[in-house]
Amino acid sequence: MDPIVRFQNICKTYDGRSQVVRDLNLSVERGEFLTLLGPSGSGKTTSLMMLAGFEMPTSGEIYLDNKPFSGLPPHRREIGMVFQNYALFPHMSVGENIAFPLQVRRLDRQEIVTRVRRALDMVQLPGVIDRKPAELSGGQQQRVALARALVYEPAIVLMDEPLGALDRQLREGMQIEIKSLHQRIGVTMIYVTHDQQEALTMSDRIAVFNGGVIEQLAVPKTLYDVPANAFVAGFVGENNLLRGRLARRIGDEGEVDMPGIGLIRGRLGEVAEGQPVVLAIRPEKIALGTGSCPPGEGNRLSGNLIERIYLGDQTKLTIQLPDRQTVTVKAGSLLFDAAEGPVNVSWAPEDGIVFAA
Amino acid sequence: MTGFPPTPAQKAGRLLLVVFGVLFCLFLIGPILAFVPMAFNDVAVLHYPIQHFSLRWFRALFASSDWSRALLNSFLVAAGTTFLALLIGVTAAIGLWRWRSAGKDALMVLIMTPMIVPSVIGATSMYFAFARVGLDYSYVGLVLAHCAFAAPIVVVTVSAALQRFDGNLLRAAASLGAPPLLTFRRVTLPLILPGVVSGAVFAFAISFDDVVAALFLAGPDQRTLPVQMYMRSGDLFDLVIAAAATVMLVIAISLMAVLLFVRRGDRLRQTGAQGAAH
Repeated sequence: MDPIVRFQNICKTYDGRSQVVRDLNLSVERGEFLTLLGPSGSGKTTSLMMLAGFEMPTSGEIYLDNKPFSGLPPHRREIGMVFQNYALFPHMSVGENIAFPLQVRRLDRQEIVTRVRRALDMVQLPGVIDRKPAELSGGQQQRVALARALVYEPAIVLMDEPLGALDRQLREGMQIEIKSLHQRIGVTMIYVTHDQQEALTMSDRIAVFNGGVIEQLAVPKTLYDVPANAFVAGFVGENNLLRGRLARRIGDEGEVDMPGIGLIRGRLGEVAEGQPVVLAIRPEKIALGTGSCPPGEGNRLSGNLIERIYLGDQTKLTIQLPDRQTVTVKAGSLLFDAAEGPVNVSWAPEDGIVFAA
Repeated sequence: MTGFPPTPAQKAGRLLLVVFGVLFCLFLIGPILAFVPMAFNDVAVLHYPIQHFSLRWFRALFASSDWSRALLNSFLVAAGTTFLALLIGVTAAIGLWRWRSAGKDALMVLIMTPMIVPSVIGATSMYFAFARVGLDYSYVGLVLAHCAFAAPIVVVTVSAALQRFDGNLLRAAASLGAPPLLTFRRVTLPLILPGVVSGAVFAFAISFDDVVAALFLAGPDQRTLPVQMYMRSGDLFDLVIAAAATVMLVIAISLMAVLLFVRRGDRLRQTGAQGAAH
C-alpha cells in the first residue's frame, strides 16, 4: 500500500548553518499511529510543523498521497492538529470551538449541530457544550481540542506533545483513550513526544530522533529489545551502558574488555575489533548473585552495592564495579533488605548488546 | 495594622491626604466646573450667581450655521481619523507583533515620534507639504494630519492587547482550515477588541481635541469646533462658546465611559476565566 505521507530528503535550517533536520526520509503508512520520539531539539517537532505547513523545508519535498505538498498553505492541507497548550479559542464556547472547522467548510447548521454532539460523545465529554474552555480542567480541554481536530474527519491528525501539561495519572488515562480512539476511527496519527514510555504505550511504530536524524524506526518491541545503536539503547527504556573495548568477535557475539573487570560477552552490533564500545544491558535482565546462568556461560561481575531505592513493586540497586562504572539492577522488592557491600551480579550474554561508542 | 486603633499621627496623616486629594481634584476640574454652568445663564455676562437658567446658548449654537458646521466638521474629521488610524494602527501592531527580528524596538520608537514631537512642528511642516500637493484646506489633509497623531496610540493599545494573545491560536485556526482573513475576523479581532476600542476612543479624542493642526490645515469650510471656539473667544458677550464647551465635555465624558466599560468588561472576563479554572 502507498504511504499516506512521505518526507523525501527534507532538510531544515533556521540560520543557514546548524541543521535542525538533516536529510529526513520517512514514510507514514495509512492508518498507523506513528510517534516521533526524541529529546528536545532533536528535530521531531520541526518535522511535524513542516508537515502541518507552519515551517517550510529548506530543501526536499513532502508528499501527501504521492502529491507534492510543501507549497500548500496550512489552511488548505486538511490536517488536524492538537497542541500541547490546547489552543482552544477562549472567547468561544466548547460547542463553538468544535463547530469552527465545520463553519469554515460551510456545512449546514443542522449537520454542524449533529456532528458537534457526536464529536463530544466520542471524546466522552457530553454536557459541556455551552461552557467556555477556561471553565474546564486541563484534561477536559485536551478532549475538546481532540474533538475539534477530529470533527471534520481529516485523514491525518498531528499531535504535538498533547499530554505534556497533564499530571501523570490523567496522562496515562488519556494515552489509552487516544489509542483506542485511533483504533476505532482508523485515522492516521502522527504523535510527537519526548516521553519514551508514552511512545511505547501508544505507537504502532516509533521514529527515534536525535540531532536532526532518525536513529531508528521500528515497532515498540523491536526498539526496546533490539535497539540499533547506543543512543536508542540509552533513550528508550532504562539501560546500563558499560564502556570498554571490543577484544574479539566470536560469531555474532563479541568479547568486551573492561579494564579491572575482565571480558564480558554480548550480542554484536556493527563494530570492528579494537574499537571502543558500549555494552547495553537492561536493569531487569541482571540477576543478583551468580544467578541462573551455568558456570562458564554467563557474564559474572563482582562489585559493591552502594545504593538501594525502594519503588514499591521493585527495588532499584546501584552497584559500583571495580573500574568505578556503575550498573543498575531492578529486582523484586524483597531484595530491599540486601546488605550494602560486596555483591555478585550476572546476566546471559545474549541479553547484552555491543555498540560502537 | 488592622486590629489596632490608629494613632493620632496616623489620623492626621489620613486627614491631610484627603484634604490634598480634594484640593488637587479641584485644581484639575475647577476651571471646567466654573465655566460650564455659564452655558445655562440667561444673560450674556460671565458672572455668578446665575440669575436665570436658560438653554438659549444651546439653541444659538445649533441655530448658527457657523457653529453647527464646526460641530459637524469635528465629527466628520474625528470619524475619518478614527477609521484611518484603526486601519493603519491595527495592521501595524499586528505586523510588529509577528515580526521576530531585531530592530523592532527602534521601529516602535520611530512610530511613536508623532506623539512626542511638539504637534506645532508636525502641523507646520504638514501645512507646507500639503500646500504643495493641494491638500491644504481640505478634509483629507486634516484627517491625514490627525491620523499622524492618532495612529501611534492605536499601535500602543493594540500592541498591549496582542501581548496577551496566544499566537498558537492562529496556527490552530489555520490547521482547522480557516484562511488568514477569516481567522482575523473570528479569532484575532474578538480577542484584541478591548485594545482596538481603546485605540478608537483615543484616536477620536485626539482628533476632536486638536486645535494646532486644525489652525494650520483647516480652511473656513473645514473649521472644527475647537478652532471655532478659539476664533470666537474674544467676544465676551457671546456665551455660545460655553455651550460648545459643554457639548465637548459631554462627548469627552461619554468617550471616557466607553473606555471604562471596555476595561471593566475585559478585566471581568479575565478574572472570571481564571477564577473558574482554579
